Amino acid sequence: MGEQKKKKHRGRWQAQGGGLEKSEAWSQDEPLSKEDGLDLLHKLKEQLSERELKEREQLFEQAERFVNNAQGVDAHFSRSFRSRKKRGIRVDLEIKAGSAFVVFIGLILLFIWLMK
Amino acid sequence: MDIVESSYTGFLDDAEVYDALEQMWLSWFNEIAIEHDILLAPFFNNLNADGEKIRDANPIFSGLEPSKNRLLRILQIPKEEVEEIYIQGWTDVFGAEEEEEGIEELVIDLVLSDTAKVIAKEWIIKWLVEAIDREEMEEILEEESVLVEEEDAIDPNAENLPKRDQMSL
Repeated sequence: MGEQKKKKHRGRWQAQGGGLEKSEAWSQDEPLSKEDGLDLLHKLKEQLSERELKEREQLFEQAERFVNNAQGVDAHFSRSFRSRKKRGIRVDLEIKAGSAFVVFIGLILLFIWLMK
Repeated sequence: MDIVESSYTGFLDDAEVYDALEQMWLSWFNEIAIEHDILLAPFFNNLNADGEKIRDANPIFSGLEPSKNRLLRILQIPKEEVEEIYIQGWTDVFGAEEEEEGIEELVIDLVLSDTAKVIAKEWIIKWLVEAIDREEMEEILEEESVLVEEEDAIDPNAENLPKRDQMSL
């Protein structure tokens, strides 16, 4: 059986540290949109217990803010939103291939044109 | 307190200061690299899709040591966010997928100080020169990390932080 062709755009969010290792990954033909990136981040949150989430509440907020401010980023890309108080407690972003959080210029131009 | 960040105060708000800080880390690492015969190749992208550099110090310095196939990432936070020496480290694996093991990495998060630089150098030598295994590295990081006490921690969302700091966190 031939090797299955990998998707062009791949990456994952991870919640790690203190024995925790949960993740939400993407693997697709198109760049990951901001909206889908945030959806995956929210799905990751849902995997956590109340205590695990409490330790990372601000970190998830920081990650969300990063996505909202992003102007599109390409692999290899990594960001760690981490606790200063407990070693290794963090939310990680990892873009292994392709692009994520892209701003669709075409849609923006269309929107501007429609607003005229 | 041995904070040596004064030359780079406001590095998250000033591109010139940020670039000087980045250069400092590069020179600092080059001294270690020459002394221990290692090198670090660029690995992580740090640009927006439009080609603009992302100056959030997350990481401030990074790369891949090809002969050991190990990554290093150094993250830096401004001294305003903590009141004492701060440095922590952890190990991770970048890019692991079902059929791929990924690349092991050491991540160091710190406030720039003489003490933090000495500790970071020791960790980097253990990781990239001696190439100790992850388990042993984790034990060292657990023992030597200097974290922020609960009462000293400053809320990174606090309104008195510079706007750029809030955006980049």
